Amino acid sequence: MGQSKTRTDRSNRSALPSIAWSAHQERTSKPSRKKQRNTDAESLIKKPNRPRVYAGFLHSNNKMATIEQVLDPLVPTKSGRDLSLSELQRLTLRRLRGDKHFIPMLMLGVEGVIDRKRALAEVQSLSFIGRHLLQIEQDYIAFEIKLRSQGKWPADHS
Amino acid sequence: MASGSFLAIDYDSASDDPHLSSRVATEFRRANVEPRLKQVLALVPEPNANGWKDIADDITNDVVYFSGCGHGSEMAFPASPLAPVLTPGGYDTAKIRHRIIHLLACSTAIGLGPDLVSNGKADAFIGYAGLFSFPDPTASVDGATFANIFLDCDAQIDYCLTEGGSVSDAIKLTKSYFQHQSDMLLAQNPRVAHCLLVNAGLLRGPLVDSDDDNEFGKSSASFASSLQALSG
Repeated sequence: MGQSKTRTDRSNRSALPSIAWSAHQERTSKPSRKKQRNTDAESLIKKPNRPRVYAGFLHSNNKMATIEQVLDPLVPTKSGRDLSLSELQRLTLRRLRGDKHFIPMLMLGVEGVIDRKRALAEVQSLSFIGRHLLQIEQDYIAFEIKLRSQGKWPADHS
Repeated sequence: MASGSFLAIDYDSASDDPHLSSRVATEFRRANVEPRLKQVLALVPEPNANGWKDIADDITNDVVYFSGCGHGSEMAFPASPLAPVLTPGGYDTAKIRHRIIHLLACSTAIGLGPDLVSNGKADAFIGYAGLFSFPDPTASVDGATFANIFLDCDAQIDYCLTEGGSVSDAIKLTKSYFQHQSDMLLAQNPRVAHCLLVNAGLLRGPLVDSDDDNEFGKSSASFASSLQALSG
């Protein structure tokens, strides 16, 4: 019985007009594997230009959340004032390490230059300067979230 | 030129403060701000003030403005353990009364500033309630040094007062200038642009959006009003 159904299906297919069949194929066929591989390759090439920017933590597993996840209303995250000191510290260290536009800073009354290496050390040790940097970073994250949600964040820094 | 004078207390005045940040800020002010101030006020020469006593004799009745730049703390300027020039109560009220005091220094608006107004009877105090930070002078954008952009924002206080504005006008202008410069820098470096806004948020002085006076003095204070009060 199964064999006869197969034969019937084949005969039906051959009976379809050729144009209608190719249209049917386009509608129902999956994208070719070759094409998929190309798409994946393109996205891999783009990744180095768009490093992940973290801005909070996922509620589900307490892993760091990207800024896109924080901005996504469907992804439960915590950020800003909801972060504990240690979470803010972890997040700040990650963001400072990943910020390719970081510029060394001076603070009036503070000896020397606060370059990235020193900023990381100060935040790591939660020194007076480190705590000040945490406060700035917390405000900076809020600033970034606000501007990104308004579409005002500079494209070069996305 | 007006008949008034101004006193510049900077990092050279506190000889034990060798910080790069203080030196950069002072050099900027000497090159850009003091010449503008000198158009309306005479500079009191005071190269080495190791403590209040060193400058007290130089503060005559025509000195209407103190500008300071360097290492500050909540209760001292400069925040030098050896020779702070200004500390709460560590001055003669007669030498502070009716003056306008502007300190480009960290945290002095928290304790020292209100004391200079409430106890010293200064007409106005302008300063910062936290750490004033600015980029390393080697960093620049389109030929403009980031550090100079930051220091130029604070200098709007001096420029506005020099042009006859009140302290309230000066703070309004300066806050909006910080915002403007932040907007301009956003595309180049959002972190730096944000840092300008942090500094703007720390700026304290007589109330900006009100004619009422506050713990930082009279919003209507100006060089002219101070001079008039001192000579009256």
